[in-house]
Amino acid sequence: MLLDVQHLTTEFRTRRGTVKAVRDVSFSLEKGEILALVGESGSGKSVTSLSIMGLLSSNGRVSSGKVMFNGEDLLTKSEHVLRKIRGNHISMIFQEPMTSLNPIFTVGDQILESIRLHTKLTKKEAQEKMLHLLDLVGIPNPVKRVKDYPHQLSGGMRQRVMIAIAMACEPQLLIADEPTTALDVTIQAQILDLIYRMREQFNISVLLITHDLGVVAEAADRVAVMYCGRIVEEGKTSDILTRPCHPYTLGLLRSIPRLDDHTDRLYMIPGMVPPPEEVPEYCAFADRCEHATDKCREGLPPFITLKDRSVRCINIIAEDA
Amino acid sequence: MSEREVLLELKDLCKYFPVRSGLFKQHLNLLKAVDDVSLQIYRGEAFGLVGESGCGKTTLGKMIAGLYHPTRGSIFFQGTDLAALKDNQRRHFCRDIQMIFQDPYSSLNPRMTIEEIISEPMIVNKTHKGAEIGKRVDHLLNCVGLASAYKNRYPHEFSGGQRQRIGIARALAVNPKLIICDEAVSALDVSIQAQILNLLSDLKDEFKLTYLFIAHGLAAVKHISDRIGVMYLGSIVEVAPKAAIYDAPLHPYTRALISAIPIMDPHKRKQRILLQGDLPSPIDPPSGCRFAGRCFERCPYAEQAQVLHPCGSNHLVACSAALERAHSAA
Repeated sequence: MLLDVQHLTTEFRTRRGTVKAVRDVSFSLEKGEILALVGESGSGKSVTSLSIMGLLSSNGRVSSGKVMFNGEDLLTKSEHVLRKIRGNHISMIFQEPMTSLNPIFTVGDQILESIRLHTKLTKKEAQEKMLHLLDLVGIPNPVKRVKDYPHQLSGGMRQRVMIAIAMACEPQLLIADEPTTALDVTIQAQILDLIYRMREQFNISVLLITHDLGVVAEAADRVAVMYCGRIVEEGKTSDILTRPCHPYTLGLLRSIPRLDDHTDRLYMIPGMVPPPEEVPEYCAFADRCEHATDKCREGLPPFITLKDRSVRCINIIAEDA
Repeated sequence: MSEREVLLELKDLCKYFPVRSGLFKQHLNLLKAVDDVSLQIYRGEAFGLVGESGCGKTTLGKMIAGLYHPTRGSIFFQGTDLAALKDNQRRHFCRDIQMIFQDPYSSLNPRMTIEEIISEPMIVNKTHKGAEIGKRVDHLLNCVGLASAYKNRYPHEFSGGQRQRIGIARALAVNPKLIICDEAVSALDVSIQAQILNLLSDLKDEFKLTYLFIAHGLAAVKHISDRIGVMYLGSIVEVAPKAAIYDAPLHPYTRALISAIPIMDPHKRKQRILLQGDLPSPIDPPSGCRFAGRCFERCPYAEQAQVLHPCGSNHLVACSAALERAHSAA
């Protein structure tokens, strides 16, 4: 097991008091596996990844839990040690490649920086490696492209450069936070294909964070659905997406416009996601759930392990989507 | 739709932006954002316009709404050419054509209350007076599913989905005939997208609206559109009724777009058409067929400029090879 997150809780100090963004989240990631964390905005999926990387903003802190990476708890490591792990063993790519690249350096400089910082290669070797990386991520004419600045590249090309930087030190874990959200559909297909190929070639594990169940269906082996800071359902992608058991997963799946469905009205989940300071101590979805009973509002439903998945719901629905 | 009355007709519409580059900005290039687009939108229909970023779909929408002057061509709205009108004459048509924007956070003035935001178009266009305005604001808020008690609040007190509802109420305020929805649901979460799409289709019947629905993906416009146009690099490559676009697309680009939509069922993971490369720059578009550089079909027509040709009933496609295939199959 490469990554094992146990009972992670992350909170932020705000003017309105302390707000919990991630509540008791546990999941694990095997070597060479792609796990998707899926949820709507505010569900805590990005905060989970930042907690793993130790990149929370100064008002946030992990209040309890463990992040075991290769058997060691990352939360107990000093910033100095973490810096060695980030880049060498864990890399991250972000949603908007324009804001994560430095606009005043050429893309070649930025890839070289990452290689030279983490390895002991000579300048010449590093240059060769850089060209090899760019070739690997499918950038045409790399010798010319390394002299370009980020604004001269398209969104898809920038994301490819980000992936090249992330892959520079052959990490074991790649965290991809909404890697295709800012891209067009045809480019999204190219980037997902690239991430998939990187996994095949280097046997890296990928934690894929997305709000798009379509991306999950295309790329992930396993999926964990998050709602209001908690994981509500987790299992193999094929099981979860074809036979969702949690009412929220079912609602999400039914509200997506599908090509093979010819009804005129879309299904909609009534109500809205509650703001983080108003998340109840019982099932957070109960107030929007059509299957909810009084029992749902008595306490937090336990994580029930079935034969193919785990679900946080007391009256599990079984329905073929 | 028994009567096919044309509400909006675009004829050879072009928008070129000058781009200066080089030393002392001496070199003048033209960015052809929209190039020779002709299109008809019927009264009471929802027309979906789909294309990747940079294909000119937003520029087209802004020209229809009067936010850009076309470089060339005409925009006939109920028979009047809007492109030929002077600004002060054009203003009379503003109330008939309203727009809903993508970002519900930046399209509402943070210093105005909801009531002020929704009543502003009625005051500017002088459509309603005095107490009528207040009544109409209440009515509109109810129509879009918000309580009228909210009207003294400010935009920051609302969520993204609620703000988009306010934007819709503002667009409806002056009884428009055509509403241009520019990526109206792209910035919203999936569960909220469904709510807004359903709301828009309810309002269409209630207010007898015509929609021009602009989006970058084919999945989002599927539920709401009757006909769909696919845009690539400033021109329209295929126009057809919804069923034909999804079930029997002709143009290779449309086929690639449809194949890029992720399918929910992992068992049915299909053979995808992966387009190579990016959208070429509209400053120096390829001569001949614009899609030729990324096209996965080999055809002898790559050097020829492609224009829309009818193929069957209500189906237009700008690809000679696809036309030939369709004819030989028929």
